Amino acid sequence: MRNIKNILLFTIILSSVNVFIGITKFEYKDIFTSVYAVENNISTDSIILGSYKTNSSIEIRKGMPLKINKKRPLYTFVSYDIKNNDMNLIDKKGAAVSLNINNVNYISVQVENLSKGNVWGGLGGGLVGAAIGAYPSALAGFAVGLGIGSYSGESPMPMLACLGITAAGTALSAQAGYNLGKNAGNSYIHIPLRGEGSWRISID
Amino acid sequence: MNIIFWYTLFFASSTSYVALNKGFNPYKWLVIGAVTGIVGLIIISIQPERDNASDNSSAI
Repeated sequence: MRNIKNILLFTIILSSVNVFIGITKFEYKDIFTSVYAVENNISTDSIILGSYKTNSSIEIRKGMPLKINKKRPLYTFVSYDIKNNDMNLIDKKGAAVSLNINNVNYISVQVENLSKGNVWGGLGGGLVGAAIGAYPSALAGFAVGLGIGSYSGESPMPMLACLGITAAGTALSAQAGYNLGKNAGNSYIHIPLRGEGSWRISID
Repeated sequence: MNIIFWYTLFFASSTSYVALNKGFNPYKWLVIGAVTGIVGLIIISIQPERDNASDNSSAI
């Protein structure tokens, strides 16, 4: 009988502890003081480029497009590794690129990201893009329409296909033209990180 | 699901323990506690202690 008592007592304690844990979402590690190790990668998603000479500063935020060393490839800023002084970027293909700041002489930032977008340039570019894109897409639509027409007799499908392809091609060209036009006259400003009058990187 | 298991086990064993202390059949009250939960525990708690001399086999 005493044996049963002990088993029941043990079961009561065990189950009450588990009910307590289940209700309070308590974890055993909560008993101990948490000690956080120094993280290997301390990164920030925005940096401030400041010039002592002109007393001006530019903030580069996550998602901003930029160029490195005045070269053509366009990158998107992701984060800045404070410990290793690395800039984490994404190239046009979506691949992650890590660049040490010692290898960067210039960071080029588009003015649009610092001021309002060039809407008029975009509209102009859109019109030009639409005009350029309309002819090839109309031709492609006509060819497809002819192809369908040879199978479907009097059906309106060839005409619809022709119109659809022409409209889609024109819209895509207009979109591309708008993007190009928006950036026209919106040049990159080159921020030197080396030499006289160089800018310094700081963090919030 | 997990907490329901521990909840059932808690009331089954508690009811059985009280029943054992009061001279009732612990196995039967284990099942009653498991099925009825806190109700079984309350019922066995308000039961007077059984006198062993007047014990009979038909009593729970």
